[in-house]
Amino acid sequence: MGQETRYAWFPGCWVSNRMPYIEAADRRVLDAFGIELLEMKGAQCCPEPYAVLGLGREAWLGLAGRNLAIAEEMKHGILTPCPGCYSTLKTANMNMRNDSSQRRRVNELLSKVGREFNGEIEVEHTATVLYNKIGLEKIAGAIERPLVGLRVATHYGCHLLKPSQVTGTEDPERPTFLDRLVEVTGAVSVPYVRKTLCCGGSISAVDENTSYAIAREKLLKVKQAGADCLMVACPACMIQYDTNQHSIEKTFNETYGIPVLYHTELMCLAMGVPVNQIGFPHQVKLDRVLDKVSISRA
Amino acid sequence: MGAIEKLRALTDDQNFRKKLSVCYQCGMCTGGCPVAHVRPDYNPRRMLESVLLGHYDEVLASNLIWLCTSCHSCLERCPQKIELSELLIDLKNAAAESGNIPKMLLERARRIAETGQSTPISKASLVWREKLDLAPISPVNVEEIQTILQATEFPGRLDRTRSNANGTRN
Amino acid sequence: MDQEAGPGKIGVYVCHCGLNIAGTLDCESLAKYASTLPNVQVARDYRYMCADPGQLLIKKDIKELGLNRIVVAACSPRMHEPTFRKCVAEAGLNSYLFEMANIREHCSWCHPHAKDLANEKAKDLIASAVAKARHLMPLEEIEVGVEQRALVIGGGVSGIQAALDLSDMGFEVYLVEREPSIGGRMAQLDKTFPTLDCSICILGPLMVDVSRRPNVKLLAYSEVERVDGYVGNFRVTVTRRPHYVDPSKCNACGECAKVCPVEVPNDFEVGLGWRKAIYTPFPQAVPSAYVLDDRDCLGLVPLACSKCKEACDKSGAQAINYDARTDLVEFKVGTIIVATGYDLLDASAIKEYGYGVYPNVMTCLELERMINAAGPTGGKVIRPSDGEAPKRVAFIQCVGSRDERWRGYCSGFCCMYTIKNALLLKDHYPELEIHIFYVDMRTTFKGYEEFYRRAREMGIRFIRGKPAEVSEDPTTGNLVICSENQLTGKAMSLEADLVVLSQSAVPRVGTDKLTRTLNIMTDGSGFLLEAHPKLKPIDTSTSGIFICGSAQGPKDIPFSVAQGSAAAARAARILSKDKWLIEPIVASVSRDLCIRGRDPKAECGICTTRCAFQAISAAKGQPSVVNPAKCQGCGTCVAECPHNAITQMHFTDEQILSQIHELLRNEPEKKILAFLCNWCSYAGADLAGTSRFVYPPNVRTVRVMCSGRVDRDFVTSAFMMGAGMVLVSGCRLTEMGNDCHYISGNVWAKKRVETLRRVLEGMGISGERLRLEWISAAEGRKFADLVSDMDKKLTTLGPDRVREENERAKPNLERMLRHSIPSQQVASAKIE
Repeated sequence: MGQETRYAWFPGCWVSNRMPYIEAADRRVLDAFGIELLEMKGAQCCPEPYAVLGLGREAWLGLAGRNLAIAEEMKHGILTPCPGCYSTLKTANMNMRNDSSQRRRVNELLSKVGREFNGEIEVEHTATVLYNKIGLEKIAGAIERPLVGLRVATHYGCHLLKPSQVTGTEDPERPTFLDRLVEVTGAVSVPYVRKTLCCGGSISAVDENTSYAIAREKLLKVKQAGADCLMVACPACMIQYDTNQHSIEKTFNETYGIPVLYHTELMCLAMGVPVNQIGFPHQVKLDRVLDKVSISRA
Repeated sequence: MGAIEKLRALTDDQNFRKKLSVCYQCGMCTGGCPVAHVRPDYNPRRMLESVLLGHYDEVLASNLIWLCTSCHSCLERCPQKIELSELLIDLKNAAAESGNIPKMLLERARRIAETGQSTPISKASLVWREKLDLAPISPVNVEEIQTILQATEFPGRLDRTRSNANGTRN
Repeated sequence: MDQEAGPGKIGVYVCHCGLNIAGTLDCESLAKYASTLPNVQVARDYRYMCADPGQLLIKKDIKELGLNRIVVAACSPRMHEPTFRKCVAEAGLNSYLFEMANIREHCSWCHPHAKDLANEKAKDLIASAVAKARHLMPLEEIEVGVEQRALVIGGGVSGIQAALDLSDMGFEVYLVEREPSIGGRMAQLDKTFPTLDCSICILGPLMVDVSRRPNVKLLAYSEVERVDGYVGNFRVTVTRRPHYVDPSKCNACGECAKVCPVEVPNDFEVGLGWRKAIYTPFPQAVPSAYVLDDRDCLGLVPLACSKCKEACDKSGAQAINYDARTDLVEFKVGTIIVATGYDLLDASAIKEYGYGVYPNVMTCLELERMINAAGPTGGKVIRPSDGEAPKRVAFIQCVGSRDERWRGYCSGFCCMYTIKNALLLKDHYPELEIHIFYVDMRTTFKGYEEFYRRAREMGIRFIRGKPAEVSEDPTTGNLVICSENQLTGKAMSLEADLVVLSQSAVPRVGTDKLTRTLNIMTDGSGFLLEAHPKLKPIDTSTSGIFICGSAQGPKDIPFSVAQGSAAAARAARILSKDKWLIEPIVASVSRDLCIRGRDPKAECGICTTRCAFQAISAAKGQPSVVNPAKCQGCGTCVAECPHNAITQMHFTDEQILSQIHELLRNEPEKKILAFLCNWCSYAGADLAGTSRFVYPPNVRTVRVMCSGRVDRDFVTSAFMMGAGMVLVSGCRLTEMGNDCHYISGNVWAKKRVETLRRVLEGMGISGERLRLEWISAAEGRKFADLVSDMDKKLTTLGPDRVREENERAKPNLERMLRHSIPSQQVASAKIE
């Protein structure tokens, strides 16, 4: 199997602008496995599906096509930490490969800026690359500080898994790869009810109350299951469960106290990266987690 | 073309309609919908039925369509393989055609059209990146983006400044 | 009257069929047109040709006008060809001097708006039928002897009923059953709906009865290995697995099983219980003798353990013998009945419900065994995770059925058996809360709606909504069911401690192998295919083979029993005769034209390799000979013979070429000439018409028995005559399997057409103008869409381009046809 070691890095707007600590954690982990991330010069927002796809399919496809074309010119597949970008780019890629009329229309648009889409590259997410391309064995080799005793509830979110026709997931109802990544760090993946529930983050700009009510369901179930923390693989889920956790607590007059970690953040802890190098500038403090596995704050 | 006309044109297409009319209203979509479980007035199954019955005004009037999170659970599980989350996007497009867009999404869309980014790049985030040893954010080629967008339906929809009341944070 | 000499005195009858035809076509004008055709003596139109007065018209004209060929332009020949054949025979005319023009299913019903073009098409179809009629020759049906014995495959309630009825009628029956005991699924049930009869109690006596009959030979633990022959004369080979137990000595004391060290899951208990390597599947098993499963035994060669034999010898029965071998039993029968039943879909495939992962999610059959007093829990219903009694049970219907992701069909009996199971649970555990999540409640037959009412009376709650997911609470093992409750219109989650799934019934494992052994077809879902969905639900398209019970499609017990009796009756029609008549549309080799006849050193023998029925034999230095009783009439050998030495009765080259000529007479470049096989594609086209799917009227159909019959010369001639496009369509051939009614005719058709296409492309004819498609009898929609697609492409090409290509290719096409030795077969070749 040809091992790709270089990817066109597509952090996405939210990670680069709002949560660069996720990018830092990603780079730490990927670097340790020899993955080189190349800058995609001139790339724009994936485009963000709720604002752009919701307004018009053509604009969405055109902009997504541009990003894919840039990566094609670089002759490397795209790697992104954001399932939203992953879904957008992978769906656009698939649509244009399968439907010649969509492809024609996009190339019409791209020709205006001297670019072309040929469907030559693939799109990966940091979790899928870790699981499928690097593999659990290699990852196990890099674990310096097994997180023994840590109880992690994993949240897959929606766009890493669905539509399964796009993502290629075998089992969107009971996926296992994030749980395996948790286990390889030495922690325990905690089962809980309605594990595949969406975070509701995408509609927080439209209707905060409804959005929070959806997130609340998950936080209650995770708390009920006795997890020490919640692991996500998506910046939007991160914002919903971490940044908004106190607001949700206030809205429903409840407490959850569940720290949230992005998957490479957890990996960094297990790989022995000093805490202050990543920072973990979360809303919900990581104390509970660090104490459980006796990791110093330094 | 107003939203309702647009929707009618879409559902008049036999090929499009055929894929929806096989619905036998089992409710698996609503049963697994994260929004439906917290909002009793939000019911994807009923939305599809309304579309099939031609009650477009009903579907578009309340702006509930903007609550769909695109989690795709409905699409994944539908026993008749109806791509309901995709239909929701078509409904959103039809609403956008007549300027019915939640304010926050409109703002975000405008920002993308003007800067190529969905979130503003603050000074604080630039400093933060530096502290984390990350290279500055790669500049976006805004000209290219605007050239592309100009040739699509996008500018027209952005111009409809009438955004609905639901777009405010409460 | 003069039947032999052609071209004949032809009578043409155009049927109105009420308004079915007359509503679109001008039948009077069509009759007038027909009367202008050469050799047509008289042409009439009438409202209902198939009715007595219509038939009388024909008979009268035959007698008074001396007609010797009859053409009826009406519905599909698949509908009324037998009717009119009988009619002309009654008037003294050979029944094969009759031809039909399909102007209803293939014309008036599918072109209701394009009236002018539909009428033009009808004229062409009539002219085509008349052209064929000119070349028709009288044929006599072939008589074969009948072995007055039947084979029934499958000892479930349907097969048992068939065997009992045939036995009562005095026929010998071989009843072959794969399991060690007969009884099938019904033996696994606890109670039956809607009467709540004890299932094994009502089945048991039938099982015992059928096994005791002197004229029923029960071969249990056996499988049908091979079947040769034809109706009235099937040669069957059955493999009997070695029992290692002599049934005449075994008294089912069970001492052997007590000492056997091997324990394996018991299939009868759906894996919930255990059995030993030497076992009887259930207490009421028939035959009751134990069997030793050598796949589970520790080892017989060399002998690893002999505990069972020791115990048996000690008990005095001395029934065990380790030297038993697989037995081959051979016998002849006149008819075969297939009653092999169903399996259930593996519910673990439907991931959203967690079967196989969450212990407290069960299937309906598992619950059935639990409730059964003789089952693995002694009749106690418990949660698999902790053995506790459940407090709230949820049933989920339509699991994997009515679901395009799994099985699109409705599985038929699940609504009823779930109500039954719910009633039983409520009766055993009155405090138990029961919820049934359904999509539709299908409770159609006698007593079924009342049964549903009874369930509601007992307080069983019915919730309309198909659950989206079942999720497990890891601490309790309880299940959380997320569903919409449509009755309140709200999404909800219900916590239950036990969930029971009603998953789809599917064809029994081994069905596809059996269909190849018997050469019968399956439908799109893998169930056995009946000859006609309305009028011949028990026959298959292979003469002498019948189907009944759930093998044909999921059904309840009364329906299965009725079909069992029906199959016995259909079989008895044949078995009660000394001789059976076979349609004479068989192949015949011309001794003069066969190369083996002309040149004693010639090998050839191609025809023998093409025939899937071993009907052609070629003795050294002799021309090939067709055994008419074994010949099924596909015509593949006819098309494959490089010397044009073989002809097919009633489907000769002459007849078909004359049809092609008429169909392409007017504006051929705008026409699509379609060769459709009788069993699948022609039926599919009929279905398109019956369903009133509208498609362009420029298609002209030629009926052949099999796509394998479509000779290269037909296609070449069509393009020579200026055809726009040619379609060859047969039964489905995919990587998953082959539905060809004649086993492999379509395989030869594929090779032939694909080779021909390359040759034609070399001559300048666009590849898309020769199309090969597989359309089944159920695919009316597909046929209509296909014609629309071909028409679109033809329009894009345009008549000028078509004419240009045809002109350019003409010299090469002529050369090809000239090289094909012109057929000079004696038209009424005697069948030897």
